[in-house]
Amino acid sequence: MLFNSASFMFYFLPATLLGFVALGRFGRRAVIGWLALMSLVFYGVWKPQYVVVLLGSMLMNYAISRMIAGHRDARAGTWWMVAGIALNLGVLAYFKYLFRFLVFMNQMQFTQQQWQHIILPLGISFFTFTQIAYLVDLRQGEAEKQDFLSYALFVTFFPHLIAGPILHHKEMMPQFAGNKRYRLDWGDLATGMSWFVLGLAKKVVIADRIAPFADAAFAAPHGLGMWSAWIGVLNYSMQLYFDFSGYSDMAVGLARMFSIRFPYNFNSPYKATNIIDFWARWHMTLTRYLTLYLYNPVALAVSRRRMARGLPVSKKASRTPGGFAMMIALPTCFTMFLAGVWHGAGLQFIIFGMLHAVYLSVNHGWRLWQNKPASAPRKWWSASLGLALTYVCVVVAQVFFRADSTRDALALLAGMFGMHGLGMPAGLAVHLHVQSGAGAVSAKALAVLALFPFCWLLPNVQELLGQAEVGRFEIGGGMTARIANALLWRPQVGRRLAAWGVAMAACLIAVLYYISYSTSFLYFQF
Amino acid sequence: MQQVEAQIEKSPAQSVARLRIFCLVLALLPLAAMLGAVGLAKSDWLMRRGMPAYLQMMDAEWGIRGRSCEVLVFGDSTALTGMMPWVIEQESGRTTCSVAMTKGTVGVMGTTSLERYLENNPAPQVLILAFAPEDWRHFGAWGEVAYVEGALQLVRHGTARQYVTALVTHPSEAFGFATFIYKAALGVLDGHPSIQSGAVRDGQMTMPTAAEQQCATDPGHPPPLYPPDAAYVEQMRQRFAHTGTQVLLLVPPVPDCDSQADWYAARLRGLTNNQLERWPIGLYNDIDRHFTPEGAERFSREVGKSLRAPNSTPGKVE
Repeated sequence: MLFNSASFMFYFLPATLLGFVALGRFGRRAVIGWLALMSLVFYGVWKPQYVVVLLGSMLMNYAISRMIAGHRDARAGTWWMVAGIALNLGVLAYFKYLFRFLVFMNQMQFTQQQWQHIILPLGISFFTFTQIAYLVDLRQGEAEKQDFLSYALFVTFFPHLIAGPILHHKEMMPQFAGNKRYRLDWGDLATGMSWFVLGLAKKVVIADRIAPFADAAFAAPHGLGMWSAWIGVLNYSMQLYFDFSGYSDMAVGLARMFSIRFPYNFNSPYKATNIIDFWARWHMTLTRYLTLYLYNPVALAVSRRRMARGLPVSKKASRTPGGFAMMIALPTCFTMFLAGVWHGAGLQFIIFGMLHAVYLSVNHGWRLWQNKPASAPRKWWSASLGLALTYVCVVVAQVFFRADSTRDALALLAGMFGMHGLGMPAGLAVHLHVQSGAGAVSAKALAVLALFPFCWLLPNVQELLGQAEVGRFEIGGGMTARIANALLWRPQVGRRLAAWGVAMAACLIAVLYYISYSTSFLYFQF
Repeated sequence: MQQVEAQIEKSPAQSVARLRIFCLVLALLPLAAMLGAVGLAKSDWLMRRGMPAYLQMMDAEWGIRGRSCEVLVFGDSTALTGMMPWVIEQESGRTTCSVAMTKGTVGVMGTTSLERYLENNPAPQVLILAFAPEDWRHFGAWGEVAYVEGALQLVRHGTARQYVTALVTHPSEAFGFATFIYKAALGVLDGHPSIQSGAVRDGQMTMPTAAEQQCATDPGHPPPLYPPDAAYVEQMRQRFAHTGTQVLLLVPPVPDCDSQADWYAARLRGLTNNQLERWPIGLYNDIDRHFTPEGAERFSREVGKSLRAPNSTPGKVE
């Protein structure tokens, strides 16, 4: 079921909220059971047979978690954790990579067989990662052993099931504590609804509207002129941002309607003035996951290995070429390589990951060379230059992320760098609603440029809703803070609440106007 | 953040009441939008000023009373674009009327409009049911058809229970319909109609497009095949034959470049009164199914001749 579908908004969500309120008086188990059941319904609407995959994955991980909990102080606990991770990755590899691998083997003429396509269960990466994190956290004493019903809700709770945020057990389940009163909190409901409507508007009114311009460029990347290649790629860049951040806003808002607080997944990533900052703002829970479960263990292993060999592991040591390569670049490349592979089977995804590995390594190297604290204020021109450079680097990597093949990505990049001239083919001009040649581009395709001030200067949804403060050193930070203050969600002030009501109603009307033409979310494919 | 939340928790009952109103307004807004769309759809103002001519024509067909037609045509858009009643009348010497609808309308409302006609008018001697080769089956799925046309007819001519049930069971399409209605209303207000219509005359429509040069369907990606449902076809025949009306089931010709024509011809043989023929693509002007005026005249003339011929099987279109 899609968050932006009418059946979700007008049937599933009200029914789930009503059940939550009605069963609240019967306590924790009734509420947890209801939400877990509805979450399975939410998942099963897509393909009922894949509920079996989800349930199988949960049963397997729950059984392993019991073994880990039973051997908490023994080496066996670690072995169970490793076995659990291996099994999860095996399931993920089967659904996500096996078919592509077999097709590749056919292309290389190692095999001749026609393989049946394996349909990727929706959200398998997300619920697998969530469960791996639970097993590791449980082994490290960061999570509690629990009954199956609670575990089922932790994994399946519908706001995060399909595309995150990727949660830690300790972030969600303590909010379903036994002594909590389960009833509708009007403040949370109003905040959650506003969050949801703003996210929905990002998706339906912005991302879906500009998608055709991006699709047209990526459908015919060969021979695109510089102008049209950039317009197409900028449209994709904004489509991806508004699609996924819109989804994340909806997820956080939905959880808040049930008085559950989720971690944020986006914090205005295009305001980042360097690539490290970008990853701290983009898909934040994935970044946190990769850092905790990939980067840190590798960095720690490297440090231990160096120490065992009598080599220094200090910050000073990381400024030497050898120290930098081993302690910074190696863990970064390892992590981003796997991040690329996680996003999809194909060389273009590996290049996407490795490009970011290079960006991050260069950024770390620059910081070490400058020897300044990362939080130090920067001059406006320096921050602006950093913002532009970061954005261009991100966009170049996004070309590989979106393209159907490496060949297509390289063709589009060649177009962006002017290797196919400034103009555009007449056929594509029709798709893009632009005039062929290097002449004027219609307002429709160029509308994407109007989104940049939104991304750079306006506060984001959590800032508008008073859930987070505007960053002090952001581009336009002062102006952003003033705008945030002027528009801030203050439900206790009657006039402010009325103004928000009008604004949310306007957003909702715009959403309803476009919703029947709406599409799936980009991150569902992962 | 914590300060704001603390204030909410400590706020007096008035604040909670305001928050309730805020939530209810947002929750009920979609319902209000839908009610507004239904109200607009029912208004004759929007129908007269905001809807294209073919929808106005179909809408008017619901109100036909006391008209005596010896030959009556009903079907999907192949009948709507391919049957010229005045040409059939000229060739057959029998008064002819058409109450053909679009596929979207038949998909949503079935044969309700035909039944309404038969209730309010003398029974015809001959009833021609004409559908495209892929439409000889029950095709009620809204996702498969241009449902807004049917939803509009349903809201205007169905009972409240019928259209409420239909809209509630198709929530996504219901908002598509509401969007269509509001766009049409905005089109009236700003003087730019949201839908372009073809020319209409006495139950026949011609799309405002030039003749096709080649089939619109990509041979590499042919549309799905829908086998005819023999039981459905027989039921259609029996259903309207009870008053002595002769029911003719006709499948209009398809373009000669239609790669699925043989497949359909083989399956429709014996089910329909005529055989599926292939005609030059130049006689079609839209989606390989809608006829140009020349194509419609040729098909109507052949149907008319077959109705006139003595001792011939009516409807034997060769």
